[in-house]
This record gives sequence, structure tokens and C-alpha cells, in this order.
Amino acid sequence: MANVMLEMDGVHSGYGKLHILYDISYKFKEKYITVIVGPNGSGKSTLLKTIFGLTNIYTGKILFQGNDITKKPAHDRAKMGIAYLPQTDNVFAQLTVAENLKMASYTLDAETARDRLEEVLARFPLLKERWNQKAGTLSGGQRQILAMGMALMRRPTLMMFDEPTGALSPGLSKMILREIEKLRDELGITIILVEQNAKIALQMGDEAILLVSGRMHYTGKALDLLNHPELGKLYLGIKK
Amino acid sequence: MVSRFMLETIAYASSLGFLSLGLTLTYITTKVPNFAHADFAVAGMYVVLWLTKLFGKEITYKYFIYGFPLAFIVGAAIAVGMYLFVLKPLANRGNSLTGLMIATFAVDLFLFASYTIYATIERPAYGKVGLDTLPRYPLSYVPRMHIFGQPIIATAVIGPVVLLVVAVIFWAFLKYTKFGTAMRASIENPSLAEVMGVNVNLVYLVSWVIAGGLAGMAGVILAYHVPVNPNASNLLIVSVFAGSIAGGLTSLFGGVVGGFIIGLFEQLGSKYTGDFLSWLVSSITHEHVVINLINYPKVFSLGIIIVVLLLLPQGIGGVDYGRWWRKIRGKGEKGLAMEEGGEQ
Repeated sequence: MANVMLEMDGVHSGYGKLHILYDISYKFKEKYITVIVGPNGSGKSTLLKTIFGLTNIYTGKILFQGNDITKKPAHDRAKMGIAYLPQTDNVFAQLTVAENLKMASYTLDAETARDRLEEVLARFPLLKERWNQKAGTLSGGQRQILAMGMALMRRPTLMMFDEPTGALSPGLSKMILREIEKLRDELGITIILVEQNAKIALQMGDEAILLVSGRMHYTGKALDLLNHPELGKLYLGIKK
Repeated sequence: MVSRFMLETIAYASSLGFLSLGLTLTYITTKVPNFAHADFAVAGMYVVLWLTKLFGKEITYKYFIYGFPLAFIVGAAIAVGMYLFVLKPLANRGNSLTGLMIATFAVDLFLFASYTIYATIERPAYGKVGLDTLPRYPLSYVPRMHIFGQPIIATAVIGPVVLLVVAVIFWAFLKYTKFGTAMRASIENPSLAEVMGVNVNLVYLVSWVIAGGLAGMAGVILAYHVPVNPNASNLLIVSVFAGSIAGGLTSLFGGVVGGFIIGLFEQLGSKYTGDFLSWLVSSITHEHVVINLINYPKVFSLGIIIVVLLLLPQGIGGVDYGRWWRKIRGKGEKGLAMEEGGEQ
């Protein structure tokens, strides 16, 4: 049985008075890819933001590696090893690739930053090729790679991706998802993935949560959800 | 030989470059249009006046060597005080940008009143001058330097040179230092910068230090060219905003250039338009008519904003000059090719 990386216990959250998530309880397992799926407006992105501390938590608890982080600000959660990659605005468009990576190592000492940079460039050689290019001029896929590289500079234990393949071509989407899979397999990073393409995401995921109107409708094996006789068809548009 | 008016204009334009750069910086970091910004420059002007007590009225280069750093410190201290004790607490309590903007008006009035009290106390030291003002410096007090044997007003040289040096240092700071990069990152996306571990509040504080300090330095130059009195900020603030807006409001490079251009056009435009109108009306009426527009320079600074925004809606700093250059070069090569083709 895998260890628990993150635990949510009866969490209700939202933005100000706008209540979005209701009674979320789940144990995210270490080195697993947990896929969060659901129709538009079901609260998938809000769930990631809640874990990262960007929403108001009304009741409930969040434990990360056994520590209560419910009231910790986002930058503290980042320091503890949680990385969150939003769908858009996940890189500094006006800065070059080099400067973006420099920003990612802002809190690291020079030697560690140099070592991590070498690792990241070895993993994503594309970033070396685009070293002096402004991030705003990169393609969508290249930006996602840069965002992943920036997150890896801080060597997180938990990475959360919010629709990383949004607006990407099918070929690029596959490449990005393959890279995410490698993060789990090669670096042992726990992944929480919100993905629009439910079928592909569920195929690569270990476990899955189906959110509908801010409530959990299914939790369990990702493949079981994919093959579920009703749920997939009803909420995710998966045709058999 | 360059006229005294032209030299004074260059000095004045340089000081507006400092001021517009600072205003733009605080605007793009904290998003607050600061109507008290010119008051920081007035503090710099009073530093010069205070130095006359220390060094005597015979002004030497000591006034600049001590004046710039001292004025930077005083201007920065006032700016930081304003940010920490007025704007930040208000922002933390959820005040809107409009509320914060109105707060800057309140600080402007507070500083105006404070300078007036200081001026009233200090007045006897400088002789009898108006009820609530301190004297404008007679030009003979302005240090002169010699270039090719010609005496020249020192602020006309020191102003643009120091502006250029400061602009280059600031650019290098933003481009090559870790904190400078963090500053640019925080300007673009503060929440992402915070996720990277940047202390965004410290970045904002530093931007106020720099803005207030540069405004104080502008005051050191302005002290020789505009009346040193508590009301000076009211006359300056329109031009400072004009410079920042003409520069594009979100570009630091645009702020420097916009401020300088506004300063030049404000002075040159009011003088030469007046001269031209005098000549025109005199020619039509066959009488000697003098139309003096030198007291209405703000008409020109505000007019330039309209012209710049009509021609370049993104402001001077928002233009992709590289693209222009490529276009010109491309056209040049095309034109050359056509010419060669024509000859064949």
C-alpha cells in the first residue's frame, strides 16, 4: 500500500462567499498520478488552488506529508515542496528562458541552483536551445516545458498540473503527458492532474476523482472510471 | 553659442526624466497613480536650500556631490513613509485603487502643508521674500562650467549626464541582478513571483525607495530653475504625469524619454509658439504685438500627450522599435533591389 502524500479531510472551499467545493475528503498517494476529471465548472481547478492555498477554506483540513497546511500561505506551501502549474500565466512572458529559470531558483543557493539547472537542461534540452528567447514568444508546448522545468528547479515532491495540454495540438499534448508520466516514473514525484482529455488522462493515471458540481461522485482506480458503464459516458463524453 | 533659455530647458527636461521614471516605476509595481510624487522633488529642492546654510550661498560642486545623495535619502524616506504608513495599510484593508489614488492627494496636501510650515520657520534665514515662499535662486548662484572656453550652466550638463548614468545603472540593475530580475517578474506576475519565493512586498518597497530617491535628485536640479516653494509640486505634477503617459505609463524606458521630451517641448513650445504668434499677428496688424505663452507651458505638455497617444497609442516606450527597424531595412533592401532591376 502506497504512503499518503496529501490528505484532504472534509474540505469546503471557494472564493470569498462563492462556495465551490463541498466536503472533499481524499488521500492522494505517494508517487501516484491522480487524475481529476469532471464537466466544465465542476470545481477541478478550484481543487488544485485549494491544495495550493489560493482559495478560502471554510471548513476541513489539508495535511501534506502529515503536516497541517490548511492555514499556510501559498509561498510556504511552495517551499514545503508543492508545485502548482496553472493552465495560463505559468511563466514570465517578458523574461527570457534563462531569466525564468533564474527566478525559479530564487530561493536556492548558487551551487544548488547550478546543479538543478544542469538536471533540468539535461531533461529538457529544448530550454537550452531557447535560452535567450523571451518566454512570451515560445509556443504553447514549449511554455509548458519551461513551466515544468521551472517547477523542477525547486525539486517538488508534489506537482499539480491544471490542464497542461489545453490549446495544444494532439501531438504536443501526447508529448507533454509523456513528460508528466516520466516525472512520476523517473523522479518519483506525486502528480495531481486536471486534464480536459479525460480518456487519455485516465489511461495514464493511477487513481481518479470525478467531480460534479463541486462534489466527489467517484474515487478509485482511474481505469475503473474509464471503463465504468455509466459515469464516463454521462459526465466525460467517453464513448465505448 | 547655446542660449541660456535652451540650457535651462535641458536642465528642466532632465529633472522631468527622473520624475517620470519614478512615477512609472511605482505605477507599474503598486498600480497606484501617485499624485504626491512631485512633492518628493520639493524635498530635494529644500535639501539644496538647506545646503546653502551649510556651505554658504556661493554655490560650488559640493552642492551636487552632497546634494544628490542627501536628496535621494530624503526623497526616498518620504516615499517609503507614504507607502508603509498610508498606501499599504489602506490596500491591506481592501481599499480600491480609486481610494488609494485619493489617498495620494491627501498625502500631497499633507506634504504641502508640512513644507509651508518649514518655509515659514526658515524664511528669516533667507531674507524677506513673499508671504509663503522662499526665494528663487538668482542664476548667478548656479555653478558654471567651461566647455571649449565657453561658460555654461552646470545643471544643463550635470542634469542629462546624471540622468543617463542613473538610467543605465537602473537598466543594468534590472537586467543583470537577481533582485532586478525578481522586480521585473513581480511587475509582470506578482502571484507567480510569490510562488517562486520572491518577497513581492519587499520589491514594492524598493520601487518606492528608488522612485522617491530619483525624485529627490530631480529636486537638486530643479532648485536652480523653478521657484523653490511649497507650491512647486502642484506645477510639476502635471508635467510628470504627461511624461509618464507619453512614455506609455508601463515602460520605464518610456518614462525617462517621455519626461525628457515633455520637458523640452513644454519650454520650447511655449516660447517659440509665442514668438511665432507675435510675428504673425504683428505682420497682419502692422503693429508690434508681443504674445507671451511662457507662462502657459502645461498647454504644451498636455497637447503633446494627445499627439503622442494619437500617433502611438501604446506610448513611446511601447513601440516595437526593432520591428520598425526591420521594416525600414526590409524596405531599403527592396527599394535597392527595385532600383537595380530598373537599371537592368
